[in-house]
Amino acid sequence: MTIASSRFSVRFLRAAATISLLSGIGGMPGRGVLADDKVDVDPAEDQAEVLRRQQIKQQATHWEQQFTKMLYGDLELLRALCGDLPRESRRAIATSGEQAAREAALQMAELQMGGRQRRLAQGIVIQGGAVIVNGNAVINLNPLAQPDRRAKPKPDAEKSPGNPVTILSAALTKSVEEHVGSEQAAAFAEQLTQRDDRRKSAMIHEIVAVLDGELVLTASQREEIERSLREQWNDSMAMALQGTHMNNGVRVFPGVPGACVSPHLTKAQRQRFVPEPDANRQQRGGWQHQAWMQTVNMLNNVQPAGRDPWWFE
Amino acid sequence: MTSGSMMTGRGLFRMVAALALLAVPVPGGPSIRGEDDTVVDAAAMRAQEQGQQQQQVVLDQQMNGMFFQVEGNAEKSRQQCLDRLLLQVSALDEICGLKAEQRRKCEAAAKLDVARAMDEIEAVRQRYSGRTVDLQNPAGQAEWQRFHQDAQAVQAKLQDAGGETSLLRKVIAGILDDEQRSDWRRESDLRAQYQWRGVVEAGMVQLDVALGLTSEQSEAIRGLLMEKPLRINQAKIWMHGNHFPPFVCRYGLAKLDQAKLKAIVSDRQWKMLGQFIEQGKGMSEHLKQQKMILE
Repeated sequence: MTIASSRFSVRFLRAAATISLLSGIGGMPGRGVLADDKVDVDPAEDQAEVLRRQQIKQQATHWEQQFTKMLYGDLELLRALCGDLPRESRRAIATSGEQAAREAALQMAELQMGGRQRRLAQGIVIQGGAVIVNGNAVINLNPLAQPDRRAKPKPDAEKSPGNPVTILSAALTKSVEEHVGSEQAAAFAEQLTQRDDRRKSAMIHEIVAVLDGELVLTASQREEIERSLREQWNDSMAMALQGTHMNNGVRVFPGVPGACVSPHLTKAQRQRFVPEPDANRQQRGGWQHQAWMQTVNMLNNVQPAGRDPWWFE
Repeated sequence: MTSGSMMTGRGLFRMVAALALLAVPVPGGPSIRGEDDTVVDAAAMRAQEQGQQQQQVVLDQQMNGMFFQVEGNAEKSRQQCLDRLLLQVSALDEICGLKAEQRRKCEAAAKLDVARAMDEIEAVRQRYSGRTVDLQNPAGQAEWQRFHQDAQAVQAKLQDAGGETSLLRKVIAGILDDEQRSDWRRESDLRAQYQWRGVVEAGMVQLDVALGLTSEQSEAIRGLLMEKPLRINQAKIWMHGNHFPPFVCRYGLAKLDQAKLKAIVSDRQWKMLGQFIEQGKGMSEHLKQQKMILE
């Protein structure tokens, strides 16, 4: 009986260890390296981790400024939709928005610093499906993270919970529901959805305009390529809007899948269109993060409107 | 003998000591140089000369890199430019169904446009060939500045080949029959409209977020912008991705009837929108200079 219990305990411990190990694997784990995250390393133990956290905090300061600009825009939209609101509700919504902007900023900074890490032991962490010992990736436990494994783009991946941009809108919508009402929350959410749709349409249109500038497309070709991109859309495709590069005298369009474009081109155009080779999952993930950063950074050269006292009085 | 031998040894010692003394440099006195010292001085002089040489720019070595955007290679750049124009001819053929003779004329015009651009580039090359610029003196710096400006103009020659004043455009206008011309004009208008919409979208995505526009407001501003398109260079405007189009859009906002625009947004939004408009105005000269906006 004692032996059986002992075996069971060993099995249980092994299973627990395996679950614990696997829980940190994957592109977008659930928790971040927040300062109060008890799962993470004691800063005194691991200097590299301490440095990483410092860098994340520094980057988060930049992102917080950008998210705050977005927050002020969202609050303006909310004010237009809800009209007059009780002072307590206004303050509660604005405060939760500021908190969400800070959280979104921290998550964006984590993505920027190479994603999240989960520490297993001194000098051993799991990041993006790889086990990293003293800074070197030694085991890749996640088969999807294999560099040569191709992955199909995931439609609507921009709505992924890992997208920091969604933190702000989700928090505000929830707060409106709590402090104003579900009808207004639904109206606000609908406006945000429409805005997301406009943003997606805009990016697709811009990508085709870039292609058109290079390949002289006909109206029907533009239409067909737009349709293909919409069907296969993934935020990583927005990489094409960050600028193309030349390879052997031919412009290369990073992030734009050849399958969405090449079938609609003439032979002469195909010779002038070189898609970036199919991206693996990790690369596509990296592009997706860059696209999110680009979305937030688009207000980089805009002075913030300033805190509207109506929300904070 | 013994004493003589000792004298000889002492004398040798004295001689070595005297020579050693002479070899010590006397402060303030004449320097005493050995062979090694000569080597050190030559090295210092060489370094100084090299420093001067670094300030001397041989323009022949700079030309390809600065004139030709495709890997600094004249032939690849020429070919890329020609391919781009031939794509325009193919698009024309696709839309209008060119006769063989019409297509041949268009292709010949495209080749002549590229050849003319290359001839003009060659003239600039000849002007600077064999020249070295000394960046240490003001005249050299001024010449370097001129060379830079000419290099930018040279790059633009290949980018602009096939543009509004090109032979290709004139040939297209001259050889198409009425039906073809009508088809081509419709296609060109659609392209211009599509490109302008791309600029509007790039700018409005930012306004949507920064101003917190409702869908209704956003559509109303888009409508105003689409009614009054700016003339833009379709090939150039996207060369740096979507970096410049939002600024072009902001300039487009500046050109709208401001009263109509103001009527769409709230006072708080109008204050913020004013900032965007001012940025558009501020950037407009640069955008025109870069021939992204054609005014």
